Amino acid sequence: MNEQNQMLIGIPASPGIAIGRAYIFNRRFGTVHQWNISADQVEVEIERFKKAAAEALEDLTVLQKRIAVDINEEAAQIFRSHQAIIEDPEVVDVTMVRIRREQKNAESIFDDVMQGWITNYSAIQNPFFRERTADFEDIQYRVLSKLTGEAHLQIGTSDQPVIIVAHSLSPSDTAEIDRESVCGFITDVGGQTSHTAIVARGLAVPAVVGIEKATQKITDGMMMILDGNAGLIYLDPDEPTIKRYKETQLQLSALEHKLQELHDLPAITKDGRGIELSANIELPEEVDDVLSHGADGIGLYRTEFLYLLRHGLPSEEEQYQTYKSIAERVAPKLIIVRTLDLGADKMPTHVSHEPNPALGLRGIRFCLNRPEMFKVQLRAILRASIGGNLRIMFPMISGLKELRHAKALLEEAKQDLIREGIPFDRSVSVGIMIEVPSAALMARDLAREVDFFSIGTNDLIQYTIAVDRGNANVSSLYDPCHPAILRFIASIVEAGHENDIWVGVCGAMAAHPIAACILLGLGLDELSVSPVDIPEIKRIIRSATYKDFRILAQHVLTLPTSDEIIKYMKAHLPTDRAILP
Amino acid sequence: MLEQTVTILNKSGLHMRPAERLVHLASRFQAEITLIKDDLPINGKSIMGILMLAAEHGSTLTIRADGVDEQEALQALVDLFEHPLGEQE
Repeated sequence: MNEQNQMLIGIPASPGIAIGRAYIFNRRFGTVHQWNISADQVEVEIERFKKAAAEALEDLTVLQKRIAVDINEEAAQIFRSHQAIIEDPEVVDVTMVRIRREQKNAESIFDDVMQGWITNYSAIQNPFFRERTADFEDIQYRVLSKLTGEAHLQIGTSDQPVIIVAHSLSPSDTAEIDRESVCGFITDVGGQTSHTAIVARGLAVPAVVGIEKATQKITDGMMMILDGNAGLIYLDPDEPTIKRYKETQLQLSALEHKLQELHDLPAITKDGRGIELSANIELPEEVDDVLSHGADGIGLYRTEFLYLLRHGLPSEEEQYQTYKSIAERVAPKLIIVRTLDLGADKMPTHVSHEPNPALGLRGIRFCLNRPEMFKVQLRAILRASIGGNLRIMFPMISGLKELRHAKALLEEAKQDLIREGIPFDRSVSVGIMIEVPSAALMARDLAREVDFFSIGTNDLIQYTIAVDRGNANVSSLYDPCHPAILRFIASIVEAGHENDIWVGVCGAMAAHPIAACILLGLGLDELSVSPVDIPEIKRIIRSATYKDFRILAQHVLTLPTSDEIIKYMKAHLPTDRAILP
Repeated sequence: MLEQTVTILNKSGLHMRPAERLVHLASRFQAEITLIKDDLPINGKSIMGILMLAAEHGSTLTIRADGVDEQEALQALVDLFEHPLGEQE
């Protein structure tokens, strides 16, 4: 364990370098020591327990206030329930009674009381209730760390930003993380397009995911270097390594600074073809990043967060307020709101588990299956469209039948609003994600019935090559430059343009320098990437003529393997080579 | 001692948020509050106990109040159950 410079290899999920200490997130508390206390120590021990509980309650009040502002009141409620547990007589009074009776230290008794509840809950049949054990473990950990006073880095109060190390990060974990105090993320599971990766890129925090057993190999407080570009972690690095990385860090920040200068320049090729360069977001607070990185708008607003950060469904009013505030903040720039795309790797708490979620009830299928829930969202989005800069997009459409069904529900929602005299943008544009191979093949027919296409490359690649991007055993097959993918995209663009609708790409592929050049050459009208990737992609767009990109793209469409495609692109790229990997 | 049987009306059952509200209300009374479901009695002032009932939508439970203010307590709790707990819509 003390061996210096031990290296762990993972999947690079968000670029950048972080140097800092590890913070093991959400782990089960280590060993809770038990010892006997004398009769005259009992009252002291009880006081110590009361003080720890009071401190935990206070922390939760602070956390609640912050989340009410950063996310919403509903999410803050979760932590109010945590407080109710720390005040529960069956937890608090029982602990104090047992300290007195058994004459043992507070942490061992409290741990045993909580463990007893957790064991009982684990036996509950209903998964919705059983899952609450994660909340109980969270509370157990919070109070125990107060009691032991163990070097427990409080995220949010530590002086130095920490590198979060977790098995995986859930939305509520993410909600709790104060971005000012976090300089990196490491997780045991996940791939380049996993939830953690998306959030990390959105927050511009370096991340490496898919390091098997990272939470066991890394100890709390351990010094680390996280290289988010290469996907490497150095444990307990020696001085020369730290020095080398500090230099790289400086170079990267200089490059970032230079890219920032592109902020106010348009995303336009040397021969004047304008590209809509927009950003993907999932949290309302990312709007600031969108604007500060010089995006032309929001090409993909993922609405899942509203549904994941809670125990019930979000109300129409809550959704409306969230959508409206984002639309107003980016206006007059455009925002494309994607309707709920739950399923697969997102694992919501209130949906039953399926043996093969990627091919299961997800995206539009899930919504069409729950029309009442879906219509609440459609009404909220329509109402938020009143400013005229909002577009609606349906995910996971596999053919015309689903599209027509979704549009019929949208029409019903519109008619209801008209009847109720509630205003909305009557000419709101409606588009679809093209991410299922069947939709890609049907693009010509689909194009006649929508206003735009946005190609979701993450899923299109996964479904076309039949590779689970989150599975480390096969993730190397996940290849944005696979000739089948490029040919698919070329035919989708052609189908869209024949019908006079614009075609965009939202997905990690648009942020890959080589792939972005090919996409530009294939005639895409829009590229939507993480806010942090905007300056670099803008620089690529501005570095050559559309004609140059077009010639390259036409040639690579004839090449049979991605190795040949990448080799050809590297040899012939018209853009500044310095930006290429 | 007073008792009354109620049905869980809110859609996702007695989950964390409604349970928290229930405890909040029960704790305002001096009377001992007991909730009984499928013969399992729990302390109505304990959120852990209430969650342990895993009471789903449509299930029934008995509220028992015992103490000086048992009448007011029972009435207030029954009222809370009759209006879906903790759901705004």
